[in-house]
Amino acid sequence: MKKLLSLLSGIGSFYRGNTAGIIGTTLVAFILTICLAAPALTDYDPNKRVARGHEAPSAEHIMGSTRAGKDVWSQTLYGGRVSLFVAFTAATVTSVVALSVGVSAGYFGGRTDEILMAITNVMLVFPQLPLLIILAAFLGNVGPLIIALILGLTSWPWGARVMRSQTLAIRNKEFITAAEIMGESKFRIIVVEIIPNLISLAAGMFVGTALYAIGAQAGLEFLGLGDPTVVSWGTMLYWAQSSAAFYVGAWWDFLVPGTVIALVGGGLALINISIDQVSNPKLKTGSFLKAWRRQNATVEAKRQRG
Amino acid sequence: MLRTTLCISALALAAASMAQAQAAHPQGGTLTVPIITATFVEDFNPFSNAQEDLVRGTMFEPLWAHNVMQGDIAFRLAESFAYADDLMSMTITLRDGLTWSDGETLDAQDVAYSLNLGKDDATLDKTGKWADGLISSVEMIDPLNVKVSFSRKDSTLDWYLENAYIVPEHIWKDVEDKITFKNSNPVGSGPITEVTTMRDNQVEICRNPHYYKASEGLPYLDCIKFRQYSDNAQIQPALMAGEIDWGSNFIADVDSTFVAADPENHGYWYPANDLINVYLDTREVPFNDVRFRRAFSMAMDRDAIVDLAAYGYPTAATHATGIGEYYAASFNDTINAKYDQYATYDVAAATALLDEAGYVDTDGDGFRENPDGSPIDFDIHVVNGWTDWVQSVQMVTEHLAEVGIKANTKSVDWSVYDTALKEGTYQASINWSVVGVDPIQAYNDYFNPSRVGQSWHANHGFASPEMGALIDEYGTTTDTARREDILATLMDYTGENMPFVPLFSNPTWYQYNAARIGGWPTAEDPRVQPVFYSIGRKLITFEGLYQK
Amino acid sequence: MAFILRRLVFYIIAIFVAMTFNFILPRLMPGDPVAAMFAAAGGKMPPEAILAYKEMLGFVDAPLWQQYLQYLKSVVTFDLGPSIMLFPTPVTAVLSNTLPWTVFLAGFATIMSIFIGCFIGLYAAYNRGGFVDRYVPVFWQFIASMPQAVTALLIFFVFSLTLKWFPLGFGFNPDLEPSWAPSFLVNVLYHAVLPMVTLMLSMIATWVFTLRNAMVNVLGEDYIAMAKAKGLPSRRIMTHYAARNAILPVVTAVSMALGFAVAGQVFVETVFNYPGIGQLIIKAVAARDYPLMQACFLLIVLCVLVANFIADILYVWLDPRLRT
Repeated sequence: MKKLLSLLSGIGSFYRGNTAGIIGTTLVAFILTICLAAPALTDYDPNKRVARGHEAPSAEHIMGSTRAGKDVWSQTLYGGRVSLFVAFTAATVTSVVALSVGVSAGYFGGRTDEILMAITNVMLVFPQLPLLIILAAFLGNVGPLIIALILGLTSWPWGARVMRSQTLAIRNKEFITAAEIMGESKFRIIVVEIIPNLISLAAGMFVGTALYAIGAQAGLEFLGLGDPTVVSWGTMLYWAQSSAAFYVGAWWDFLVPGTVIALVGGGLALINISIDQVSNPKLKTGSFLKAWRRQNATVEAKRQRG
Repeated sequence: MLRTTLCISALALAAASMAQAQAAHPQGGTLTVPIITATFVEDFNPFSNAQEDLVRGTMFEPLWAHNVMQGDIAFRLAESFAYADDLMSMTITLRDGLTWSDGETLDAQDVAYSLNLGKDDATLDKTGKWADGLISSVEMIDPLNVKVSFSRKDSTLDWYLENAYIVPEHIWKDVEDKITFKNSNPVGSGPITEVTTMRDNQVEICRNPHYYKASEGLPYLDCIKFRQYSDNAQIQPALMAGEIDWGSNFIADVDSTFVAADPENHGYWYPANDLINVYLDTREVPFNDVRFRRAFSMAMDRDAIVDLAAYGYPTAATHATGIGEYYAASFNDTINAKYDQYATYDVAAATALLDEAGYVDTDGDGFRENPDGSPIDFDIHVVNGWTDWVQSVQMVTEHLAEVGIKANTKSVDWSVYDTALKEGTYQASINWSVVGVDPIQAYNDYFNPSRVGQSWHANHGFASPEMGALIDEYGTTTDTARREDILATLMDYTGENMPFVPLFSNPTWYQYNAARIGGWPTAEDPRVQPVFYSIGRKLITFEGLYQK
Repeated sequence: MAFILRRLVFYIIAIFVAMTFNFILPRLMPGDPVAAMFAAAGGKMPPEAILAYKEMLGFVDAPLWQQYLQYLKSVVTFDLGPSIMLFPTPVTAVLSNTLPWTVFLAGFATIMSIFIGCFIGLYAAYNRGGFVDRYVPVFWQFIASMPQAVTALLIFFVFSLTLKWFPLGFGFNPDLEPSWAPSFLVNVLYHAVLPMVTLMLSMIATWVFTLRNAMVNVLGEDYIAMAKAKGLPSRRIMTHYAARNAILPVVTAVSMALGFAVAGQVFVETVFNYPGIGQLIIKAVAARDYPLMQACFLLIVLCVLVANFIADILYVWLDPRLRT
């Protein structure tokens, strides 16, 4: 019970005075909620033709309809489930792999470190989108789950590097040495002593990967490499493009999925920024700096006058 | 009298008078045409397929061109052809005084040489008639006549000879590998042969200095500019901005985008092309029951599919006898009347037929089961990326759901789709049908057992030796009455059995910009089906264009 | 020096990994990969060409390691086979035309983004807590979060199609003959404006944050306090002391950014019909032109590695600590 309360108060203190974090979390949580609550918010089946093609937004169809006559609002909500699922799955896979690789390399050192880092560095240097395109081409039509997996399995190197350097920094601290002397098992040391100190970095990595995955998935599906019969934000863009939505003036077909991707992406980015600021308070910015600036200016002026 | 002689004199007169009328246009002007490719390469070899659209028809003229829309033949390099009385050979007579673009004479030697190329190398056999064993030999009789001998009786070879490329023997006989030969300085017989610009994003080919129709003032246009685009999405804005003269691709919402950009000059015309069917594997349950197939067909709201999935451009199918509007001249009204009901949207009739045939919902899941209780759940194949077809298939599954049949859209890779259709391993698959010169070509691909495994349209289970024999017989007779009878039997067979469900006729994609160039075929002046991706029809269309 | 050599060895290993990846992929496909690959070519490819390609890929009757060596040999000698969709033009010929355009677009866009982003980041760090510091980086982040496909199409629609201020596509006007004449170069730049702007929009945010955060970290260091104590003016401290050290993380980030630049090209090139590798790889995938796809991939990896290597050399030049 106490642990839960301290956890909650920890989260609370994270958000206090942290505008970026609050806005970001609200955005993402809002979009996540409405996507999960899709059946309550719309009556239309996202796969059924319920209107004429490219109908402008109206009372009946608040976001208009696609070329095939499907309700855009409903597709956004149900498609959001798929897109968010892919993003968070990819983020999870990446985090797990990055943590395993990075912490092992940092903690065990020696040969393990060399081998793992060699693999990480090589993968780091590979350009991701062409790799994804080639994989998708060879695998044929890839559904969302496969996309999530290949995104997750190609995005871990950066996080692994970060985890490793942080583990190295902690590794030689006294509390680790103490635990080793006490005879704690390696596994327990890693899970109980090291990883909790990496939480903020891991959170940053999770959010960052989700951010990347949202965009990458939309990109792959836009290019036609996904499964066009599945409804997701990326395939909405694909269909909008193939029906030349822009040229015929049906801007909603395009801008609705685009904006909602930007909102989720922006929200995740804000969360990331705020995590950065919490782990490195020097990066903070905001109105409280006004006082500092005024003071700083007076001090500077005094310095110049000599 | 079984000799088939086309009325050369009548056509020659017609051609001459047309030429008189056409000579009224002055020469000059450039036609800008889009080509979908990643980049242009310096390859003008018609056999390599690399850049076929740059060379066929306008650089290498065919012997003749069938104009199905007008129901006649336009003779080009050849003046006439005639089948022998015993139908075991054909004699082609060339025009006198033909020349290549380098000034050399074009005569029967070049024709015989070109046609003989296909004998030893199947990739050079564009007609496909060496490969299927029809042609036994090709020889030059005299400088203006070529004799093609057959291994069996035939009266249809002229349909296929249009596809043969006649190339200059004096150049090609020294070429070692005819497929990898670049042909960078092409010598051709058509109106547009001289390559003046060769860039990655544009190729310009201009007037043939020794064109055989130069005395008639043809061609009117000086050059064709081929411009590179990556896909349809890039062609559409270029069309709208008036940068292209002749478009041949799918354009979304053509009225409000293309036509609206310049209502006076921008126009389009989409005459019916090939018939699109959903092919069913009739060896599988439930497709083995003709009542199920008929109910499937009656559950299709073709007008809705045409309007919503394809913007209203295709022509909905109305007959269940195997051919579409392209072959309207061969429609048999009596037989059509027998089966039209099965190609009409009638949910009540479909439901009634399914109920009567024993396909009812036994487990209350909202979908019908087979009479033996097993569930009905099948996939309809479509190629990934063909968005209007994917949408059409999605609508098909929606309509099926409305009568209680569970079907799924399965978008697959081309190679999977291609193999499944040819080998008959699909459950249902959307595909086109053959359009050519004569409707028998469509039925040949549907029911001739020799096409099973080769064609996409033959492996539905209803190819049969009897039909195959009839189809083969069609090709060996010139008796119009007998031919009509055979067609009628085939139409009846199709209507009776319905191994595929007709949906709509693909449109001929054709947009034109009359701001700089006139003479376009339109619905009001349907002088030829304006197919850019062809040999003869492209040539005929081009010949009528002039600078304004 | 040792640093440079180590990096070089590393890059050579990376290229080998890429080639091995290319070697393995076709073998992962179910069934006979060569047949599957050429199914799309229909009857176009003569049997000799298919055989030649099989040999190039190493599908010969030999143990796997020999196949691998055979494949490596053909790659190193640039015998990458013919393109299927443009048969019989060899893949190398198709690629050589697109490379300069890609390098031009990606390189220029990255350099411009670095300048603009760093300038904004520097200004933000200079005026901590000010308007720029508080809102501008976040604004750029939102812009960067918009899917590139949408940004590209939006810009194309507004500036090319509706306002007609810029051309609809191409690297240069197809009616012009390429040359080094200034008029032609101006035309190239004119056609590159919109694609570059689109690319930059998604790249600037990274640099704003990288430099700002690096600056802020550096400003907390002791030597900065020392400089202030010595009485140096703020501006000089910013540019001569702080920025010089803050540049280092920027250079490290450049290597990551280059990967993104080449990746982002795909959408921009597709929308603007720009003749680079991005749109080539998309066409190759659509046509299932496996020889071309694999060659494109290798070339892209090569470009990114070369750019990384240049970044490494720059890093050594800037950071004397590595010169030992």
